[in-house]
Amino acid sequence: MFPARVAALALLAVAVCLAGPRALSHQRPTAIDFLDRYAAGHFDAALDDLQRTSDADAILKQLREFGTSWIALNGSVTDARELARRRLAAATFALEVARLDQWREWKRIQTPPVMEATLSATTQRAPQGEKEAFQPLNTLWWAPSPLLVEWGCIVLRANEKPDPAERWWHLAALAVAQRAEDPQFLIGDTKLGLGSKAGEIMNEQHEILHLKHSQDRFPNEARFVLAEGIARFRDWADDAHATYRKLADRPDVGGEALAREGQMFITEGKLRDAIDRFDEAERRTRDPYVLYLAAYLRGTVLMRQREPARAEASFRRALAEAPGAQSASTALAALVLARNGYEEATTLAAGMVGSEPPPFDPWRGFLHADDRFWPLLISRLRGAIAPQASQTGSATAQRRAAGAATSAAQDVVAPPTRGQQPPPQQTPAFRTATDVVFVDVSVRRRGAAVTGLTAADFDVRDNGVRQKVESVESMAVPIDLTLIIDVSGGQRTTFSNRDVGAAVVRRVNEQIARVAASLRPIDRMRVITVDTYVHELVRPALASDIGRIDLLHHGGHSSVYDAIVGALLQPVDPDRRHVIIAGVKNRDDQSAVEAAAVREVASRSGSLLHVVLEEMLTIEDEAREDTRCIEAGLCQSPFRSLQRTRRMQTASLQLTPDGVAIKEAAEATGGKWHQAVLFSEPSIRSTFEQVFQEFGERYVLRYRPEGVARAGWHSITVAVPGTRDATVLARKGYAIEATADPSAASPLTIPAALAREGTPDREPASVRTVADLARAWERGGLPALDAIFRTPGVAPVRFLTELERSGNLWPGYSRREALFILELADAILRRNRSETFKPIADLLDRVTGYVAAPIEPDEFEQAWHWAATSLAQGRFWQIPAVPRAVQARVRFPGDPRFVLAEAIAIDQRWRTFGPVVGVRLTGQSVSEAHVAEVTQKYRDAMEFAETRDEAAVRLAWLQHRIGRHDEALATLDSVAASVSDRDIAYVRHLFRGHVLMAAGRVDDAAVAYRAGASSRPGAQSARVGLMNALMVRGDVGAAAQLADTIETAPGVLDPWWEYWSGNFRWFARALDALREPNR
Amino acid sequence: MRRPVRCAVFAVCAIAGLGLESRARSQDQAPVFRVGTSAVSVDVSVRDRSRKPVTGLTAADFTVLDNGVAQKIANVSFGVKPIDVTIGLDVSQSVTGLVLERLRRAVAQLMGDLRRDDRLKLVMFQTQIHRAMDFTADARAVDRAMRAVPAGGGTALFDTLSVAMVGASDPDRRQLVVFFTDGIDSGSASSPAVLEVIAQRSRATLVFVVATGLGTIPSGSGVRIVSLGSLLRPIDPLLTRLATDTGGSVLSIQRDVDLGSTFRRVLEDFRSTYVLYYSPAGVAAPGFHTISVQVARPGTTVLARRGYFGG
Repeated sequence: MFPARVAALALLAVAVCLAGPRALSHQRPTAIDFLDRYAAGHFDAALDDLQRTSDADAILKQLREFGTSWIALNGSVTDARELARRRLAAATFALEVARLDQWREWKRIQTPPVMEATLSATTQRAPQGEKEAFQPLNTLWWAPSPLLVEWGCIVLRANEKPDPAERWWHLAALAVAQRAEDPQFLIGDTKLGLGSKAGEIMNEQHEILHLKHSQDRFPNEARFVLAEGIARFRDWADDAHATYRKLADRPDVGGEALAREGQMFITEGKLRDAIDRFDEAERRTRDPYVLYLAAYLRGTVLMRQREPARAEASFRRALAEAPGAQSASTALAALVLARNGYEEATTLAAGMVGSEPPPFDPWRGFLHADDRFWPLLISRLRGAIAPQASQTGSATAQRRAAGAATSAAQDVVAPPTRGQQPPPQQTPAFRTATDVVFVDVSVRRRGAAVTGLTAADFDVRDNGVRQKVESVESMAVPIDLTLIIDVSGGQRTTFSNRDVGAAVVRRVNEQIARVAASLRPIDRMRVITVDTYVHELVRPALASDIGRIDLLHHGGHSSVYDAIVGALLQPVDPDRRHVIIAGVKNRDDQSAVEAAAVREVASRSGSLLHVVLEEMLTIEDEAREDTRCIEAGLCQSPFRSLQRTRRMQTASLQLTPDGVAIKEAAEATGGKWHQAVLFSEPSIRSTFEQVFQEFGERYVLRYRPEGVARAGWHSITVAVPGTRDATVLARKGYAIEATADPSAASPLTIPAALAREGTPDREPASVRTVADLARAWERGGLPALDAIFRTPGVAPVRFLTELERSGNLWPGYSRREALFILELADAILRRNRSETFKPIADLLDRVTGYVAAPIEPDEFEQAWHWAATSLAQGRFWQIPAVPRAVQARVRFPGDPRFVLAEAIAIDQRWRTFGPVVGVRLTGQSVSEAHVAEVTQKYRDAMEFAETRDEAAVRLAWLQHRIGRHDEALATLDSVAASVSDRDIAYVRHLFRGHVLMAAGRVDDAAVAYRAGASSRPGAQSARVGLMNALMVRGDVGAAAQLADTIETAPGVLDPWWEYWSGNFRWFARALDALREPNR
Repeated sequence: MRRPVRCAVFAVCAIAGLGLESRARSQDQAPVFRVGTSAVSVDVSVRDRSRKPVTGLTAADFTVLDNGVAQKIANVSFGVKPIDVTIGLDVSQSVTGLVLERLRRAVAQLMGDLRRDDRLKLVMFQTQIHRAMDFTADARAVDRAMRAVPAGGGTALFDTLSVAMVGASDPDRRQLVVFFTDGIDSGSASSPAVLEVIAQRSRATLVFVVATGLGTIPSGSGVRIVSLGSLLRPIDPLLTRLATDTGGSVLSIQRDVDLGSTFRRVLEDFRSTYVLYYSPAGVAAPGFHTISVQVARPGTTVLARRGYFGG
C-alpha cells in the first residue's frame, strides 16, 4: 500500500510541476507575456494590464531572467534586423515600465549611525582610551525603475553599431531619468566631495552612470552634454556654468543652455547676468520652450527689480510662445490686476484654470528638462518596433503621449462629473461693469454672531465717504464654492515610496462628497486640484451633478499659490457669493507668484477666501512609510525644487512670512486662516461646514457708490455703531477698472511684435521699422518687399540691423519668421548692395539655428534648407553658398539634393562660362585640388538616382572646362537622352555640342545643338551654338539666317542662363513649400 | 585724359567674282558673302604721322602678300561703298542710368553722321539678344528704341558678338560692328575659341567701346552707374584680339569723353579706308590665309585685317 501511495504522490507532484507554470501563467501574466504583446504593437493594452496586475520589481526580475532568451527567441532569430528590432522592443518596454513608476523614489540612501571608536595611544595622538565619533559614508540602493532603464541600455549596447532608433531610445531614457529628477542615475554621486552628511555614498561600484553609456554610443549628441549641466547645477554650480557656456554656440541646444544658466544666475542673485543670458537665448533660438523660459524668467527678475511694466511685457512675450501657460498667466494676471486691469486679469485666470488638461508650461516642466520630448520619442520608438501598429495607433496612445507632455502626473484624468455643464455666463470677480457693490459682513460679539441687524445699523464708507445701504441679504444668496485640494507629493518630499494613488483618489472623493452633501440645491461647486499644475477637476456644477472621481493627477511639486490666485480671479455671477476653501500642505515650490502677490490679489477680490493648513500627513500609508524610512536611516530627502520651497509654517508651528501673507490674504477677503489648535486639526470639510454655518449669520450689504470717483481702488470700512464690542469682518475694498489700456486689450494677439510697433495701414513707402516690413510682407508677400526695396532712399541695411536686435516677430510662430527672413533676403539681394551681403549671410546663419528642431530635423527645416541653399546658389557672389549647403547636408545626410548642392556650391567658386583651355578669360585659375574636390562631390551626388543625371551633366561641364573633352563626352553620354528634367536634358545637348566643337567634330556638334534647340524651342544658347557650328563648317548662309532669327526671336528663358545659379531654379517652388505650413 | 583715336578700321571682303557681285538677300537665296576661289577684298587704313588718313593712293602704292605670296591688285576704291553700322549695346546691369543716357545721345548723333545710303541696326543684349531696330536710316525710330532699353540681367557678350558678326553679311555694303560693353561675359554659349574662328570668317570690322572710368560719374539723379568691374580689370585680351583680327580697335573711354565725338571718329575712320581687290594666285585656296599689306610711303601706318578663310 505504501509504495502505491508514494507512487501516486509522485505522479501528482509531477503533474503539478508540469501544470504549474501554465496554471500560473493564466493567473498572472509574466513580463514575457507583456513583452510579446508590446512587441506586437499592443503597447497601451500591455502597459495598462501590467499596471493593474504587476509591478516594476517583478518585471525587472523577469526581464533579467528571461529577457535575453525572448530577444533571440531561444536562438531562432538570426536575422540581424529582426534581432535589433526585438532588442529595441525589450529595451523600450523596460523604459515604459520604468516611467509608469515615475513618482516613486529611484533610490534610497542609507545613512549608517554614527560610529564610535576607542582610540589607542599607538595610533592616535589623542589620549589613550578617549572615544572618537565618525560618520560612515552612506549606502546607495537603486529602485527597480532605474535598473529597468539600465537593463534596456545593456540590451541595446549588444547592437554592434548604434542606429537612429537607439538614439531615440537614449534620448527617451534621458527624458525618463530627468522626469524622475535623479541626476545620480545619470552621472553618479552628485554629492561627491560634499561629505557624508550631504549624502555622499560609499558603494560607488553600484553607480549606473547612464549618461556615460549614452555618450559612448552617441559622442556628438549635444543633449547629453546639456544633461550633464542640468544634473550638476544643484551641487556643483561651477561645473554646470562651464557646461552651459560650452554649449552656448550650439544651434540645437545653445538657447536652452543659455536660459538654464540664466536661471542659475537668478538663484545666485546675479540678476543682470541672468537678463543677459535670457536676451542672448532669445537671439539664438526660436524654440518656443526656450523662448518661454527666457521671457518668463526675465519677467520674474524684472519683478524683483521692481520694473512691473517691463516684467509685464516679458510675461506677455512668454505667453505668446506658450499661450495659456499657467506660470506666466498667473504672474501676468497678478501684475495686470495691480494696475487695475481687472478684465484682463480675470480673463487670464479663467483661461488658466479652465483648460483641462492644462497646456504645457515650460516653467512647470523646467526641472524635467527633456521629458518634453517624451511623446515624440516614444512615438518614434513604437513606430520602429511595430510600424503598422504605430501608424494605426490608438487614440489612447496619442492621449497617453499628450497627457505625458502636458502634465506632471502619470494618470490620465477621467471625466470628473456625471453631468458636467458649461460654465454659466459670468462677470468678472471685480464687477467692474456694475455700479452696485456687495459686501460680505460678519458681525460677532464675544464669539457669537450678532443677528437681526438691518441696513440702518451699518455704517459703510467707500473711500471714506459714507454710503447708503440699500439692502441687507443673508442666506438667500446662492454660493459658488471653490475647493482647492493640494494633491502634490508628500508634505516632506515630492516623491513617494509607496503607491499612494488610490489613497489620494479616495481622499479627494471623500472631501468632495462631504462638502457636496452640505450644499443647497441653489449652490454650485468647483474643485481645483493642485500638483505641479493647477487642474480644474470639477467645473462649477450643482452638487447633484458631481460624480465620483476615478483618476486624477497627483504627486510632484506644488503650485498652490497659483491655484489660489487663479481661484480668486475667477469670474463670479454678481448675484452669487464666491467662497474659496483652499487646503494647503505647507509647501509651495512651483508657483509663479509669491505669497505677497496672493495677498495683493485677495485684497482686491470680491471672493471669500478660507485657507486650511493641512498640517499632518493626510495619507496614512505615506505617513507610516515616511516615518519608517526616516527612522531606518533609509531616506534622505533629495533637494529637488528649483527655488526655495516656500513654507507657511515652521517646525515649531510658527507662521513664516509666507504664512502670514496667506493668512492676511484670507482675512483681506473677510475669510480666515485655519490651522490646528491643540488636538483639533482643521479639514476642508470641517472648515466648509463652519463657513457655511457662519453664512447664515453673515450679512450681504448692497449699495451704490456715491460721492466717490468711480474708477480706481475703493477702500471699504464697515462698522456697526450701535453694537458695542462688535467684531466686524468685511472685505477691505474693491476696484473699478479705469479705461481700457490699449497695450492690455489683446495680450495674446499674434503677431505680438506687430501689436507693439507701427500702425497697420502704413503704405510700403512709409515703411520705417521691421514691423512695418513684416506687415507689408503679410499683406503682399515677396512682391511687396521687392517693391519696398526698389523704392529710392530705402536703406536695407538699417532693417537688417534692427532685425538682428529684435526678437521673434511672430512669437509662437517662428516658422513664419523663417520664411519672412528668406523672402526678405531675396528681395534685398536683388538690389545687389554690397553692404547688405554680410548682414544677410549672418541673418541666414541665425535662422538656420531657429529652424533646427531640438531633437531631430523635421520637414520644415528640410524645406527651409532647400530654399536657403537654392537662394545662396542663386546669389553665390553675394552670400556664401558652400556653408549653407554643408549645413543642410549635415542636418539631412540622406537627402541627395544637399549632396548635389554642396558640389554645385564648390563648383561655383571657379565659375567660367566656356572652356578655358588656352584662354584665360578673366585671370581666373583653378587648382587640381579644386577639380578633384568638385569631381568627388559630383560623383557622390551621382550615387543617388534623384541627382545622378544633373550631377553627371555638371561634372561633364567641369571636365570640358579643364580640357578633358573625351571624359566630358563619356560622362554626358552616361546620361540618358530622355532624362526627365527638361532643363538638364537641354543643357546636356548644349554641352555635348560644346564638347564636340572643342573636339573638332563640328558636324556632330551641329546635331547636338539642333537637338538642344528642339528640346527647348526658342532657347537662345543652343541656336547660337548651332549658328556657330554652321559658320565654322562654312554654311554661311544658313548661319546668317539663324543669326537673323536669334536677333528677332521673342524672349524664352534659356536653362543655360540659370546654370551657374545652381538650384536657384527651384527657389520659387521651395518658397511655396514653406508657405504652405505657414498659411 | 583724352586718348587720341589711333586705330583705323579695316575690313576684308571676299566676294565671288572680281566685280562687286551683288545679290539681294532673300530667304531662299544663299548669302553672297563667301570666300570664292577667285577674288578677295581687303580694307586698308593708311595714316600719316599725325594720324590723318592718307588719300590719293593707287594700286601701285600697295603691296599685298597672301600667305607670303605677293598678289596683283586688280582694283582700289576709297570711301564709295555704303556702310552698315551694327550697334551692340550691353544693357546688362552694368550699363545703366546715366551712362545709358549718354549712349543714347551718342547713337542719335551717329545717326546724324550717316550718309543717305548708310544704315544703322541696334542690337541690345543682356543674356537675351534683342534686335531693337533693324537696319534703318530713321533716326527717330532708333532714338525711340534707345529709350525703351530693358536694363538688367547677365551679359551674353560673346553670343551677341558672334550673332552680330555672322549677321553682318551683305556683300554690297561695308560692315562696321560697334559694341559698347564693360567687356564681361556672363552667360554665353560661344567659347572664345569659337568666337575667334567666327571673327576670322566674318566680313565685319569690330570696334569695342569699353568704359573704364564711367564708374566715377556722380549719380546725382540717383541712377546706377557702370560697375567697377571694368575699372579694376584690364581690358580682356580677347576683345583686343578680335578687334585686331578684323581690322578694328578697342576704345577705352574715360568719364569725360564725349561719346558722340568718339562714335563720329570711329565712323570717319571706317569711311576713309581703301578697299583693295585681288585674285589670289600662287596659294592654295582652302584654309586660313594670312594677309600682309604694305604702302610705299615713308612715315605711314598701315592697318588691315590679318587674314581670311579660303573656300
